[in-house]
Amino acid sequence: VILHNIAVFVYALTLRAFPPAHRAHYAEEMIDTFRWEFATRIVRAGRWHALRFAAVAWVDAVTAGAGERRYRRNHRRKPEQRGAIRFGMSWLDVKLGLRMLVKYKGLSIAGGLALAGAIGIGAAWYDVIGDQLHPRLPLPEGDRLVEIEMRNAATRQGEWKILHDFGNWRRDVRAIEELGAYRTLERNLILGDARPEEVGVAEITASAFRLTRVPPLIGRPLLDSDEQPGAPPVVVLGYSLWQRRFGGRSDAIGQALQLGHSKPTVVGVMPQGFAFPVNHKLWVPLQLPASGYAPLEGVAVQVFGRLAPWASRQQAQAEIAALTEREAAASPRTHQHLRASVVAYGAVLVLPGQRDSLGGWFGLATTHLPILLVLIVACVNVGTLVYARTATREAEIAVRHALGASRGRIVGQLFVEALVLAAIATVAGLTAADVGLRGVYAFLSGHDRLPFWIQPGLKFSTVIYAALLAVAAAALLGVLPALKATGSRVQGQLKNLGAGGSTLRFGGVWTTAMIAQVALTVICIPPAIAISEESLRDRVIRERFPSEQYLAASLELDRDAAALRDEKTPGSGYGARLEPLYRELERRVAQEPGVVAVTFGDRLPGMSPSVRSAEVETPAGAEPIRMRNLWTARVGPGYFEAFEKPIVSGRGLNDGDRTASPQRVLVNEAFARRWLKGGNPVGRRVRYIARDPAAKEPWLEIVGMVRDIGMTPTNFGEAPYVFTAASPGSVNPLVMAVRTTGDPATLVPRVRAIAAELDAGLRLDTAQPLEDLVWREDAPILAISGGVVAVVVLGLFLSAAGIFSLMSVSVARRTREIGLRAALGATRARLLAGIFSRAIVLVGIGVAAGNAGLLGLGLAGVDRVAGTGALITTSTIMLLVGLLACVEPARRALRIQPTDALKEA
Amino acid sequence: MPTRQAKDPEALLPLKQSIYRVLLAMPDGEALHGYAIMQAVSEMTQGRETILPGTLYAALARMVDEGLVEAQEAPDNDPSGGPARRYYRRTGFGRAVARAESERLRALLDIAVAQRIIGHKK
Repeated sequence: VILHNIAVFVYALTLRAFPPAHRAHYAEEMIDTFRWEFATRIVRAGRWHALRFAAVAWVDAVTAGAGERRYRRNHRRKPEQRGAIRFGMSWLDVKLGLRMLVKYKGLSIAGGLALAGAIGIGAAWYDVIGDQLHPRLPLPEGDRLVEIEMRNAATRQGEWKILHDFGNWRRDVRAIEELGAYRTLERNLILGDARPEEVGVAEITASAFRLTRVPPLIGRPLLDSDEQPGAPPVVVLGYSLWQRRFGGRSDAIGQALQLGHSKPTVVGVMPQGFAFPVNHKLWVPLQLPASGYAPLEGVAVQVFGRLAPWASRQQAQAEIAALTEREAAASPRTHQHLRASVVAYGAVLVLPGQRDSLGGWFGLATTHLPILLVLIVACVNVGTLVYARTATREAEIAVRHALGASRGRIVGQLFVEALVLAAIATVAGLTAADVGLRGVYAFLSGHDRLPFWIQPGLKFSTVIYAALLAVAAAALLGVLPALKATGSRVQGQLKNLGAGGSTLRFGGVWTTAMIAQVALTVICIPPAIAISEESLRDRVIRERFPSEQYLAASLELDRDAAALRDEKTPGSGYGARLEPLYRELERRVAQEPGVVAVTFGDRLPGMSPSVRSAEVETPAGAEPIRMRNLWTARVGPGYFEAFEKPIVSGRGLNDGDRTASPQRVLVNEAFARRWLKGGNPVGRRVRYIARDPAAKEPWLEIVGMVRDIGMTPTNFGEAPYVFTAASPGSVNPLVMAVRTTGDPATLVPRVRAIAAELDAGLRLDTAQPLEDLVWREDAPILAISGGVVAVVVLGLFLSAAGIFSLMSVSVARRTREIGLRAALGATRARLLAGIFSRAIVLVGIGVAAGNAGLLGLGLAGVDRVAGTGALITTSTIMLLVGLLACVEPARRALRIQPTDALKEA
Repeated sequence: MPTRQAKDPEALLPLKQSIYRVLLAMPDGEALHGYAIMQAVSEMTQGRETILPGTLYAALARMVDEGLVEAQEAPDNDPSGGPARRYYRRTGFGRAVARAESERLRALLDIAVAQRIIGHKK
């Protein structure tokens, strides 16, 4: 009996060579068969004969088991050959999928939102990048249009003063036809008595109209003869401008209008939608002297053309490169480092020197990698939820399997269920992306910043791409859990059905993914809190300033050819021409009703600041106090009176302070608080630190201290400022501030009209209420901090969802155990501790890893992320979220009745 | 285990020796348990060939998968006694596959005869 038992025991051991599924099905029978044969042989032929048989049978079991494992493995690998998994799907699955969405609402909402976000972001990215990398110009054979870009290989900067090269290319290049150039000018458009408006004008070669092959709606386009110096000035109107300013009348042709100092005659109107070269509405000829330009002389232009019918972009590139080399040999001083490249028209957003590889890996990676990363992150998160749902449906899957549903059929069904979720999420994501992009495009289009080839709304190819993303997501979400659920344990599941438990577990991959997510969320919490606190604080402080009473307008004077020549004559430069104009403008604006004060500076309170390093002189022998950041502004007389900030010590600035030696300056109270420990700054000296340590900037004498304006909040209160005296002709940009008792927006047309009356070339760029300007500065920061907070909240939400899934599966798996322990008298607390120890360990590891990351960031010098407060805050938030996620599974576990669990057992 | 019916018997050829022997050892219409199949193989070859439980059940598992045999639970009055065990019965498809394999072997045998490697059986 002992020999018999040992032989059977060893045989049972050798059966471990078989795959688990085989053992689950046949092991009992095999042992039984072995036992009978062994017993028979002992009786018939004796102990040794039986032992010989047993040895051979053991070896046979091991080799057959290994063979069976190999066979099953290959069987799985070649489904198309072996017919192992044939996916079966039907409309019923779609209905079932919809029903599942309703049944598992939490998963549908959480998973749907995460997928919609991922697919929406992916689609928007694909659409935008597609426009950038492969612009499709809505022009005949638009894909043959090219730009020639010149770049300095030494400085890695673009070089745009290329009129000399343009002349050479126009004469010598064969592979590109209709070579042309343009530059964009801002001009006052003055038409009769109507109020002037500022418009963007394309100063362009006539070849542009031949190149685009778009005929004018009425009249004629620009002609080569218009380009000749001395030719009568002409202008071609865009459709919208023609409609707006001429009421769409055909007698617009032949009328003269005023563009800055020029008075061109209208010769044609272009049809609706035509905005070549970018988003232009007016075209005037680019007049070039017959003598041409010396290398790197003349104005900055952009050069474009159309590939000759026989030429490829590579051929054109080779030709242009050869010409540039020839020029480099002839003029090494200017052209030694210049490299010209021929790129598809409108293709932007590329790294320097990489435009040639657009079609290659760079373009592919830029387009798809970010999308896939976002999608994978979302899928890992939603995957945990779907996996948990699959675990709770294990019994159903096992029964269907037992009733004859093939593995492929079940996998197909779960795939369709995931596809239904992904499809709904895709529709939501695409809608959000479409609305979002249309909003952004409408904003840009309203500000004339949208190129004509970018059409609002998602492209058809984007929709197809999103559909593919949905299928990929569904495959990740549906098929992987389904394969696991229908794997070799399906018999075990069947056996387990009666016990009401589940056999699926959360494997290492899911657990690691969740720990990583908890850690990442923890790392993101302190920066998110810091950024949002800071931006909200800044906004609240800046809101206190009465910026709604001020109009801000930056002034520009046209720099046309004659003016450019004058620049070289001392005393007749740009500033000298601008100064009297400004003074007259200020005088006349001050007389307007409602205007309380007019002043100027290079920036107004709340506009983007200028920061420099500086030092304050100390009593003899001591080291100067070095200031890493000193905020600076150049201001006109009356600046502080206009903003109602009194001088609290010393005196204000006057015109003489600008030219006095040493130059005299004002500081604010924050300067004294921060750098002089509250001492009186008057009489002290301060100087900027030059980039070159050997060069010393001159000392500036502080003659007064002004009250803090309160528009530059920093982490240590208002920023310390130094204000220097300026004249209107010496500041750039020249920003005028008008304080009014009424709505400053209503002043804009009046101020513009006065400026145009004084000089047709005097323009008001960005004339708007200071309140709007400040909001435009703050809005992006608020948007970024809102985005960061949203990402962290999403991270917390997904972490909670992951922990919830883990706990749900754990409770489902251990129903019987929980019931038995409850029956044996375990308290609720002990039961919960037993179940949730894993969640606590998981969150604990995640929080610890996240805190370690924060400490690392702190050591690496990142501010305000690794303080004790931050660590306690993040740990508390994460643990609270983890606990909240455990509430529902805990309720489920405590609802298990011991009697039911015992009955099932 | 799921059953998958291959449509064409030829698709499964050549058969593994163990599967062919088990198919031959099963009488038409009669269901046998594993131990009985083991004995039937031995008897069929007058003890010259035996099949051991490991090989036998690896073969049976695949035969069930391919639809060559079907498994049945033991009848209530199992004459063999002992613990409850499954019985296996050759299917019509199993017979067709056995026939196809036999014809394949006969064709080979005919070649061997034609080449006088062996003579005609008298």
